[in-house]
Amino acid sequence: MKKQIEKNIKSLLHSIWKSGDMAISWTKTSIPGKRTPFFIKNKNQIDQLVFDTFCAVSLATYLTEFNRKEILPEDFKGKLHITCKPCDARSVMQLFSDMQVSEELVNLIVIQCDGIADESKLTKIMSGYVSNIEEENDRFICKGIGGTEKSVPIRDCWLDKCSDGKNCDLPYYYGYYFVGNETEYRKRISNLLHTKTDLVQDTMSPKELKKLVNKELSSCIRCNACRNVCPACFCSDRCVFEQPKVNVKYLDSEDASKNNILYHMIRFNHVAPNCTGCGECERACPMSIPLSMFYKYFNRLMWEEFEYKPGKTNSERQKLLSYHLGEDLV
Amino acid sequence: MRKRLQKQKLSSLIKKLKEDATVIAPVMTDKNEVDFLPVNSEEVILSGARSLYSPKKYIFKQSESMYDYTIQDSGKVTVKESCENEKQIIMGIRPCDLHAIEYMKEFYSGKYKDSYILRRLENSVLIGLACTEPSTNCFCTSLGNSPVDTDGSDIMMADAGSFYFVKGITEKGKKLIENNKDIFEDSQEDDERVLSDIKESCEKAILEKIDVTALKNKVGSAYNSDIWKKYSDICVNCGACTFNCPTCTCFDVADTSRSKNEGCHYRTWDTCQNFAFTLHASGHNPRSTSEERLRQRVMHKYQYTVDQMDQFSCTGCGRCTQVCPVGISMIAILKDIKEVVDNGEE
Amino acid sequence: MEKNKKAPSINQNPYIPFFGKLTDIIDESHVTKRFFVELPKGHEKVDFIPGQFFQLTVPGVGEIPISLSDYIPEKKSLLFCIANTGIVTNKIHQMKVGEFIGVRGPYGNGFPIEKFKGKNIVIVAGGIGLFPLRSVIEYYFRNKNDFNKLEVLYGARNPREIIFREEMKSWRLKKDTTCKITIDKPEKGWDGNTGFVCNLVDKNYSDSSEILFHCAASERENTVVLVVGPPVMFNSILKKLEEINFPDDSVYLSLENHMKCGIGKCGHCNCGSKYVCQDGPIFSWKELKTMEKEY
Repeated sequence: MKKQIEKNIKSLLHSIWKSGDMAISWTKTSIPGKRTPFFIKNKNQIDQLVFDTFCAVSLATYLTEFNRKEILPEDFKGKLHITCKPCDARSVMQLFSDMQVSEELVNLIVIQCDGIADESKLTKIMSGYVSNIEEENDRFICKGIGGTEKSVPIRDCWLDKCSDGKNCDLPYYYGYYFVGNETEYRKRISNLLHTKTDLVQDTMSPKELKKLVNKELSSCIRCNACRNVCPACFCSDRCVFEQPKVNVKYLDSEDASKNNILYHMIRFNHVAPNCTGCGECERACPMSIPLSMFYKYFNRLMWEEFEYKPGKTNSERQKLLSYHLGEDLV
Repeated sequence: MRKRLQKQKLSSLIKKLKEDATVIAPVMTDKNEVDFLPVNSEEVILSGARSLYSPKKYIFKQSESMYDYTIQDSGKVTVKESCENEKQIIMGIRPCDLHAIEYMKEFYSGKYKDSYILRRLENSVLIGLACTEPSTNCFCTSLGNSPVDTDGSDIMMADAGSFYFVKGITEKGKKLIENNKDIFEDSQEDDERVLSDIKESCEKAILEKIDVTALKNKVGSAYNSDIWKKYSDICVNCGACTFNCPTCTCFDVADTSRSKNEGCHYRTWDTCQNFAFTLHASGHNPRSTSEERLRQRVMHKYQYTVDQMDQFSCTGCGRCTQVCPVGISMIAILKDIKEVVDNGEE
Repeated sequence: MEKNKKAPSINQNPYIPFFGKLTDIIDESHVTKRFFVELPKGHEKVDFIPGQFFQLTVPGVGEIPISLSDYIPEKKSLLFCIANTGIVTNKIHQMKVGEFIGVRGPYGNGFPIEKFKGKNIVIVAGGIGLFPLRSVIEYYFRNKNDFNKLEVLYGARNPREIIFREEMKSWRLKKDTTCKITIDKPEKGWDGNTGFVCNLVDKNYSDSSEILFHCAASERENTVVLVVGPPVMFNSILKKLEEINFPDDSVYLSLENHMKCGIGKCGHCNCGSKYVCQDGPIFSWKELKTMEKEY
């Protein structure tokens, strides 16, 4: 099935490709289970693209100005085709609504997705070493040290967002290509969307929560990976943390853990209104800080207060940045 | 000095060592990841692949105060150097990280000596552990290192089934063994063989190998090639690779005030992948593009330190590859460099 | 420099500054000031080579590298000329006489001044690039017998930003010394040269360098050129020197990469296999050609 989808993406790209186009997709690396973004700059590279269970990186981040400015080739004059899982497509939608990238520029290809595995989770299960991974139905057959084989259910390796399912829904947008069976996909996710997920914020007292946040954020090493992979972070070099004239002392202190909270709270406040919950921050974090616990909570609040879900359409204004005259909360 | 340490005696050794030093060893965190942390006794993990996090943070701290200042009423400023004299014993350091610490020791010496790091090293006893298993991303053999290297350690340990084979390397290490001699047992004649056995089985399992030592002094010729663009397109310019790298030594210095008259001068890790890292006050930036910054990281590891100190500042631990959020692999970059170098030579 | 090679012990912490009193502050131009720092007891003697720099600290604000403009042994003080460009320099500009500033150094290699003996010296400076070169000029006058002629070619953005006005007047009056000034754009009340400083090393320019273009060829061969300014400026100078085939081992430049520690540890100023703070900041053009273009 997945092989068929990959084939269909390739043939779709072949049929719509015009000279001067560019596409962003995934490809294999020499490391088992690791997929890397892949920039297709001419037609004959199309066949090198890969789509499978490990394509975790959200390509939407390459549409933000942070990462876009240097990647478009000089002779680029056509469309930028971007392959997306439905969750990533919502990040692209949000970039459209925030007017960060022009709809004219981008051609969205949404791919039917049955859950994406996190290579690092699998590596952890295999205690750090995997020499080969085969996929069989709903299990990975992995080769470990000394050729020992282990069968791991794919679901155990899923990204958190895949089991949560809150951002699996397709955006209300008519400009995308869908690769796969859309009806089948909608059927699969319809159950997921209506289940309520429990968040730590529901069960913990503010005091406990504060303790938890302090503990989790104290391990932050301030590598900026969460910011740089975030499709909602598009301030580029104008980002507050990049300003040499902003004295770092407000963001740093001799005790690094103390001000990590400030860093994350600035980022959180900045990004929460247009966070689609893609979970890239959490996936990218080398210290495995469960960052999406903040964002999920905020997303839910936004839904309860405004019935607003970022990334739903290509034109909805951010609820915290717009208002109607006479609105109570203004 | 060769000894045996029965596995069940490990906890009593740690208990003993804890009497006059902080003992740091790999333990399982609540995130199911192995990390170097101060330990009590039992929970130490001395098996499996190297940990995701290196013990670098106990030598070169993520953030540390360099001195405290006080401005007196007369306007005079007095400075109090932050001075740590705590003894620490770091256990279970893998050969790659030992090489890294050795590199750091040399880097922070030289004409000007970084007192903080060298003092901390002087106060540390480093207990190495031979790697019985590699991780998926390991490539130490490519750098000419091996999973049983002892360079940089005070004491080296190797798993020999029911016991650890223990070897005192430096005077400091031998003294530690001497002080605890009732915990250790005498070693048998062929105990040393465990090292070659481990070496053989571990090296066999390493997935990637490319002879980087043959590229010594030649990596620079790839400076103007187009391979950098291929990776910098994908690179999101975070610092995950550099902060997790056991040999990355760059830091930023800043001042902070606690009150009107008091404060401290401190440093934190910094990364060359950051746009502001090289930004001049005038707005000019010598490495303004992602391509230049990615090239800087690679060239520094494989060429610049070869020029300066005649050694690579990469130990082949593969952590940069492991933590990269977009799957950029150092081995892939090295393979491309090799191709460029080989083509250039033809 | 060589004398200092005695290896210090690890307890001699190179990061700790000593604090000197500001004894005098003089406005230079509207964005620059001169600061005289009195050396405290135990630090009176400074082994200093023109072109070296010091790390200045304002407690609680930060640390920056500043080239030394002059060392006045009689007064036991250092002269720093500082432009107000960033947070730390801004704070220094707000400081008053009697306050204390942290000093450590000198760092860097400095100009190989011994090699210049018996030669003509052409100094090319843009904007505040003249500050570090002042120490060379002072050295030249103090040891006049060791050198031949001196020429100062200076470019400022506008007349208000010209530094060392008075000094330049007195330098002009001295024997064997010429000074040429240019400002970027024509302005009311300015009747001197206009255009970038690279014009002064262009042979077709009306008021071009005396030593390089209006002397015997043997004079020109016996000349060193010292260039200090932003990369855009020194690159255009080097282009002009290339045109006249000026030998690259007789041209010295000062790089101004971002620095934090000053002693080759923090990595910010790394350019190829060199640390600008330790292996530089002065490089010959010949060296520069072999280095990565990351400055």
